[in-house]
Amino acid sequence: MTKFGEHFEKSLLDLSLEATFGALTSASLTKDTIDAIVVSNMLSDTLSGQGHLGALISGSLGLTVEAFRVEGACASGGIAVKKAVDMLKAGTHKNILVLGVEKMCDHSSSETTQALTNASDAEKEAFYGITFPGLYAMMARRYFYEYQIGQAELAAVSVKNHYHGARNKKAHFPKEISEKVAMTSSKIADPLRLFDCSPISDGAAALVLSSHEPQSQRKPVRIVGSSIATDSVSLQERKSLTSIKAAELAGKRAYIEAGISSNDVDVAEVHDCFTIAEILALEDLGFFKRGTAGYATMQKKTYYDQEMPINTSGGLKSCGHPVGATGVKQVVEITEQLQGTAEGRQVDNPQYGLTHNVGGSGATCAVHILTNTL
Amino acid sequence: MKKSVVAEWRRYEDRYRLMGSVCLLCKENFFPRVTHCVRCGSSDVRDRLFLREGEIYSFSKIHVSPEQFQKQVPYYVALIKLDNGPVISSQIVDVGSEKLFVGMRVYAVFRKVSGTGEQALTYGIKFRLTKK
Repeated sequence: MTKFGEHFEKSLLDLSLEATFGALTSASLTKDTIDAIVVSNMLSDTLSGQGHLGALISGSLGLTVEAFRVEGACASGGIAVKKAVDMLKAGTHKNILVLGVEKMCDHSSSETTQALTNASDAEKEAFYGITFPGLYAMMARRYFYEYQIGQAELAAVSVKNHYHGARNKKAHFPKEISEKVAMTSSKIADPLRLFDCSPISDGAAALVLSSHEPQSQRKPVRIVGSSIATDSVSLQERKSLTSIKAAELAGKRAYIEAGISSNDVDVAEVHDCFTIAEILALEDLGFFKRGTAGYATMQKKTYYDQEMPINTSGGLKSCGHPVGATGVKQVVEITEQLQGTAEGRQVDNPQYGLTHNVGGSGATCAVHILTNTL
Repeated sequence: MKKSVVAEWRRYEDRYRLMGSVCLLCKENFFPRVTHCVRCGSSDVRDRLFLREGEIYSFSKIHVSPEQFQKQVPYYVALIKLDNGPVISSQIVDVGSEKLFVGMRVYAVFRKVSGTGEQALTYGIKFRLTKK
């Protein structure tokens, strides 16, 4: 993967190729072994005036293989990984390049924010001026009401993710922050402040998924659970604002496929687009009981050297959130953890890792379970 | 992208009144209108005009907005549970110094939503706090 951050000197294609060749090198493969490409991206049409990304990448690699793009808002990356897994299971392809890329920093933040609003319901939400932070703010407000937590619990998520991000060279903001900084940062959508929100970033992440044993010297890692679930795009139609049904369902299905339970997961990358989203994720995936994830975070249980390491990459908050790249990056981070190469933030001998990638305010969720056993 | 006048016009019924749908089979309410029941799949749905009163289910005060709402910042958005209808999304207006809370009573009013001189103006339903 590329470093996440502001890449004014690099285009969408530059970032894509940098991540692709990085993945090929670490897999000890040449580009000619790739027999399909799945590209994950949300905003290239709007922000780069570029569609048709499958062929763009394939052609730029000098290939003529099957190639296409998938889009599911911020869950695009997880969807791309799942589609590649499906193609490998179907047996039609052997080495699939999964590339997630997003170029967001070339525009003013109000233009990019506007483009991101496409992931909400245009008629029911965006029409009334309800922004993305606004949707998660309403989830947070309702969570505060039902479980009596407050901004300190949210800030603890941000502080922890920055602590991890400071140990990741690829992170957009590799810097530790204090609780005070988080809790006094500017208001975005009350009760969410700036440090409750993931940033706008450029970046790309790539993986090669193969149906056979890898040639690389690295420890082989397998995807043993892969699931996507969906729900209504608008919040108003959800039965609850304090859990994300699509995440619960995708998690359950992935655990069944992998033959494990939430207790077996040693490390997870979850979708902390906003701090409240990480709290919901920890409960939706069964790591903590309803209403307790905020307290567990305050008690530092989710640091990389504690009982349930969450977002060792720094999460979306500190590592950055180039939308289409995020779901792929999560799988890259868990792979490195399972290979024992996550320098500076390595979890002690993990066997199972999980990724949780959410689109919109929870309408799509892709969950993957990876292991280095077998 | 510029607002399409045709697309705006098509939504008049549920933007200008609280006109939604009720499923005659499973009794589920919807707003805006639907052509089939999202819950049971029945196409036996009828228009239903919901009452204007309800209460705040959740809310937020928006400080950073998309461009066309910048003149309104800061403004309140909310999910409102209608007394005889579903939860709907909108804004709370004319708040002044009052502190909002979950469960607060509100009623629907007709207001301009967005647009400036050069764009199509859009109108719709917003909510005000009910006086005690």
